[in-house]
Amino acid sequence: MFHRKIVKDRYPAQRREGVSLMRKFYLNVLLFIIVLFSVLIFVDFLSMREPTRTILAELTDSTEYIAQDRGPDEIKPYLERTHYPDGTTKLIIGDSVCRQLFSHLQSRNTHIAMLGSNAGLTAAGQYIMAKEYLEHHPDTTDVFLLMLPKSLVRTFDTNWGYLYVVMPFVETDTLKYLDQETIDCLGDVYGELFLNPSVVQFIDRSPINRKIYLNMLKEHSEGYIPSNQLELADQYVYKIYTMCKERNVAFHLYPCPVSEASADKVQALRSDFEKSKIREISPDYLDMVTYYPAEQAGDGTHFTGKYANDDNYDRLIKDIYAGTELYDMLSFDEG
Amino acid sequence: MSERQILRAESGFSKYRKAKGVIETMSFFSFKFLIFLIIVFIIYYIIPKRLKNSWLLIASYVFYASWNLKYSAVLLFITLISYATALTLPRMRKGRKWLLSLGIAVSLVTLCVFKFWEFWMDGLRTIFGISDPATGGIISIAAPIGLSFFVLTAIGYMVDVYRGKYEPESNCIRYALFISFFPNIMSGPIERGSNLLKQIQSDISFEYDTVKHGLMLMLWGYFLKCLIANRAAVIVDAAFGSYVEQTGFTMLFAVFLYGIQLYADFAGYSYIALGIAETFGYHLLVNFRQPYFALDMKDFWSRWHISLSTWLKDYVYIPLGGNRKGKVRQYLNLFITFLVSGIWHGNGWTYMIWGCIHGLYQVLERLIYPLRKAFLDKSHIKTDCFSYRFFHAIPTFLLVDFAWLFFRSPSAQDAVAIIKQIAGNFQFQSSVTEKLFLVGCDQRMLTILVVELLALLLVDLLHESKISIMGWLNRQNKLFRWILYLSCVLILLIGMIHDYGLDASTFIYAQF
Repeated sequence: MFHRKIVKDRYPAQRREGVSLMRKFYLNVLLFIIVLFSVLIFVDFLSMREPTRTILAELTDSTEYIAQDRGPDEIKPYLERTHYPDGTTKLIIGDSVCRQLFSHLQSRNTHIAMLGSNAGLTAAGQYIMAKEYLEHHPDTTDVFLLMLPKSLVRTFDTNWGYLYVVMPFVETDTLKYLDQETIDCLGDVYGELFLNPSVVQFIDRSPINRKIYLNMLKEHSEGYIPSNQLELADQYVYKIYTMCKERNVAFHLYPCPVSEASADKVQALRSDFEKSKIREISPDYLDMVTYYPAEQAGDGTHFTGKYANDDNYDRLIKDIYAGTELYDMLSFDEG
Repeated sequence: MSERQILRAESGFSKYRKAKGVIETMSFFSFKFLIFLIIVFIIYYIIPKRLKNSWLLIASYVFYASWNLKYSAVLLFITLISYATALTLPRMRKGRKWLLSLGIAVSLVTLCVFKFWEFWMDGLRTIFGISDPATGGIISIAAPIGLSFFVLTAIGYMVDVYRGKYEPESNCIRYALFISFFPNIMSGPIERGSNLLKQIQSDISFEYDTVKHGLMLMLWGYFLKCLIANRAAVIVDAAFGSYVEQTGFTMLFAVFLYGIQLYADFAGYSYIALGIAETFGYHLLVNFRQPYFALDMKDFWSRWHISLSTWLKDYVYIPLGGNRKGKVRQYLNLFITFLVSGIWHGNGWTYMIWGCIHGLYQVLERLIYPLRKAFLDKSHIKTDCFSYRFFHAIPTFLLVDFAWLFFRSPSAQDAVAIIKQIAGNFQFQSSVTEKLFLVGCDQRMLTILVVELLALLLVDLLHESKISIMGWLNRQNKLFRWILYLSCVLILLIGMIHDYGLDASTFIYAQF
């Protein structure tokens, strides 16, 4: 102790100098961090507003994150349409193949709201669409859900889940319609903080924020792993069904046409399907699947090239859905 | 069980998995590491001097254990073996050589078992005719990260004590810190007792300029790694991954870029390591000195991975006899030293070939040296001018880059196939006009890379001209300095966001 005391007092001047230098260092670092964060916040603010938004997106290679036809920008117009008092009494919702097949018929079928959108919504998102529509259209008689088998399997993944499930429904305050455990699950997959409307807005407005968050998500989260492939669909398709039943609305579930290349995947779904609640609603769902030659779908899912035209879609609808309630209510003639 | 958990258990979300959270390991890029560094730094300068080494040792083991807890035992084992060996050596009158040999042998066996595990297992599979690597009860293990580096540090220390260069360190905390110091444990620099241990033994106090310099070094290191190396990796990985489909010109460009990538990657790591160490007041050995400005192969090895080349010189080349036993023996020693260097890098044939190529370069260079000197003397060629340096640096770079081709290729056959591709399917015009050489990246990314390379060239030129950038900066006004620092951080952040999502974030040398 004695020795230590001597050592302690040997160079008091140097120690004092060391302490003051350290204080200077911490102050400088603190100041630097404050200035840096101020600059970063300003840059982030600029990245939310044009024209700096585009410039900063270019600089950070984030331009693909401001694509207007993806995520909330794609889904919100559909959600808004569910509110329109447009006199429609029937609703068609579904994935992007449903949209591809039916959207051109909207002008010829003014009594039907054709809101086929995107598989990224998952069955949970389709439930919100149906609920919103039924709330604003009390005279509804039919709800049609048209989805590929692989769209029914879609869950909260790290690729599209945040863009298609969280963002549009948080921004329109409709996420609350999902079950609490689903919201909890979304919170665990995407982070509870990132379900907050202000945070969602913060991410949505800036392509830089979108890029950082979505890439971090991919790195650090595994997405939601369901107990069986149709778990989410079971829960929410069934909810649509019971909701319709309560309101005396007929609910119909039909498959969209599938490329032959995906036939094996559809068959692989059969064992889960046999145990699912979807089977109770639509026992023939998987048997109704129509397969078309693989070359018609450039991306394996959508009709492309010479097959992507309204005449082909009309022909397909007539072939696939002939004899169903859906076919009976559709009009293919102009005027 | 909380209410939420019960709710989930009752619902269908049975196999629900939580988000992974922050990454498990503490790489120099992780947020976890940043927090770790800040905590270690603040506490380090608060606690009394006598506790500093213990604190750094704890931090080093925490850092190492974050990669793999079990491998901390390997680190501890090597530390104990070398500590006990070095401590016993001066007390022995007889058998010192045997004890040293035992200490080295144990260290080397540990290194070889882990590092060449797959090599041994492949041999066993061949002997027992097991075709499927997953069967036959043969387990697969990965080498502990940084093993090659801390084993060499330990061996160097034991030899130095044996040679009487310095007294062995009796304080086990100081010695353990010397072996496991977290800034350099992953990929060096391979430290010496005369440098790092000596500093650990002395009192370290806070020095403003050293800490500031450390932070600047870290910034530069991150710039090299995150911007240059990662961007170059996009083209290099894509080209080497599908070389059969690429033109010869594309592959030549990829080989050239690989030389740049490796430099930016490894020097970047080294600068970060040096910078972190400096924030704690320690000066690690400099690992790179503008290697691609080297005038010949001997010069190159005095600038590239300096801590390894000096280690090999002191503990392999000189013990083999160095240049003391005649020319032929010197050439053989040189060749063996570079072969050892190749083997140290990995168990593939490509590393061995790479080592042999450099061994041959060294031998040939020494063989032609008298002729070259006579020619220079007679022709009165100026050797201290830019043109001389330029026309020597270019062929040296080309020779080094040729050897890197083997270093990067998945196998020797692939390397030969790439050479054939370059020689026989060059397609310069189509590669340039159709931009085939930009495999996996776009024109804009290449432009950014070129600008970054120019920045690297400028900094290397200034260093080569012995101009201190920090010295120049310190002479400027504070406002200017701060604007410059902020700009550098912003450029780095924008660059990192630009490349976010590209999969090239690991250090190449971490695998060795």
